[in-house]
Amino acid sequence: MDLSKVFTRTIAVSPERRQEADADYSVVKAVQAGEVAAFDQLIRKYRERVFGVVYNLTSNREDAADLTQDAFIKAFQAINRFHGQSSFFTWLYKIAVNSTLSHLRRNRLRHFFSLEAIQEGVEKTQLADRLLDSNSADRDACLRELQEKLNEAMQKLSIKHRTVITLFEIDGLSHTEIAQVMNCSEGTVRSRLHYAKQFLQGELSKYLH
Amino acid sequence: MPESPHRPRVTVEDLLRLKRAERPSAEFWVRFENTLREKQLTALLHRRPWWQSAVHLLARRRAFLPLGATAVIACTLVSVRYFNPAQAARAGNQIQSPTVAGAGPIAAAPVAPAASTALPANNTAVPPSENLALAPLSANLPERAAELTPWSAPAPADRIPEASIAGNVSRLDPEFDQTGINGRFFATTARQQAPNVTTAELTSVTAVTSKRSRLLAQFGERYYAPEPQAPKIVRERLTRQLADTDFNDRFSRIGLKGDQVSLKF
Repeated sequence: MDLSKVFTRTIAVSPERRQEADADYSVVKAVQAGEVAAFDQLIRKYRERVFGVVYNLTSNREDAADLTQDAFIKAFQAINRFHGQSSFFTWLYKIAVNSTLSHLRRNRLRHFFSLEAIQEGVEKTQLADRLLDSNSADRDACLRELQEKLNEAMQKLSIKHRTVITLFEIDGLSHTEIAQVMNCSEGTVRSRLHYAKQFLQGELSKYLH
Repeated sequence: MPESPHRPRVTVEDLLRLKRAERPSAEFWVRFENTLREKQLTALLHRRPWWQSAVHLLARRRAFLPLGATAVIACTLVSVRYFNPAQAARAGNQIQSPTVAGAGPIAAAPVAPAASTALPANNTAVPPSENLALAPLSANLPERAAELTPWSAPAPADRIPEASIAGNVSRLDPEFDQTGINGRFFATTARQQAPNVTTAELTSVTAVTSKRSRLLAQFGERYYAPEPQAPKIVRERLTRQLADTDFNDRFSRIGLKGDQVSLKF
């Protein structure tokens, strides 16, 4: 492995992530030793995050569910080839993202949304307060419209730009981690991120003020 | 959308954060887990094909790629360097007749010397390469002629040479010699022996079949071992031939058919 890459990753990964990666690796070792049930821990831990990435890339709930399951199956089948060179989380993301990109390339012309409802929470409330009149009667309808417009704008982005902005803005991965997942340089990640944001600003200018 | 002067600024990042709230319900995860369990069990039972493992192995060992490519190129170069079309054709013939190929070495040994004994020393009809091949054998032919003669062919001493035929004819009829027919006759005989030269070539190149060797030996016999009454018969025939004015007609009367030579009178 390239030494510069190892060094970059070492200084970029936070201590929390390192602890998490070590914990994951011990579980992976147990699975590799034949304790198949231990893999369920990893599934429960990462299923929502993996699903979130795939869902935001496809904007289709059913496809996202299938692709997430496939990613876990592939990871399970290839678990013996995992030697801890990267964190399990990054490795799993890589599998999921690659499967999703292949799926999107295969079905380039097929676009139909199947969106999840926005769950009630702090983020939703705060954003709704900032975007809409608090006493507005059709607040939920407006939020639904905004969600659709946002997904439309996301789907207009290229697959690579969509992946970068999903991993960075929605899943909170660092530039280094995205570069590892996407097999490209950090500079490329930053450049794609910048372009994607500019594009979304243009598309959603109606809601930005 | 209504603008409000007191509303805080909204950015793209804020909008994208809204997507974090797009989460499936609890029932969805129950179904997800059941389906995943089924798929996992299927994957456990399903054996991966061998070529997938090979592909993974090759993908991991990247050094194998240039190594394999070099090996393929080397094999190609070596095979091109040592490829001999003549050998390939011979091998193809042997494959077409495997029984004959098996009998080849046994049959070839006795017949080739017999054919070379039948050939004159200054025979130019045989290609130089064949002559070279026969040279060591024909060098000590006089000594080894008796042991190399095939079972079907008579010994050289028993054969009646052309010269003796001509001598007999001349002795019986001196006019025959004076008319110059003698020379013409033996010129004709020489022409008749032309197919024999061809057969000698064949035997010297490859006498692979025992049947062919036997037939060639018999064919040679017919020319070189005529019956004892041959001079009389020849004389009668020649007398008859003298009446023929058309010289070319004589050649058309000589027929070569398979292993037989026919003369039409």
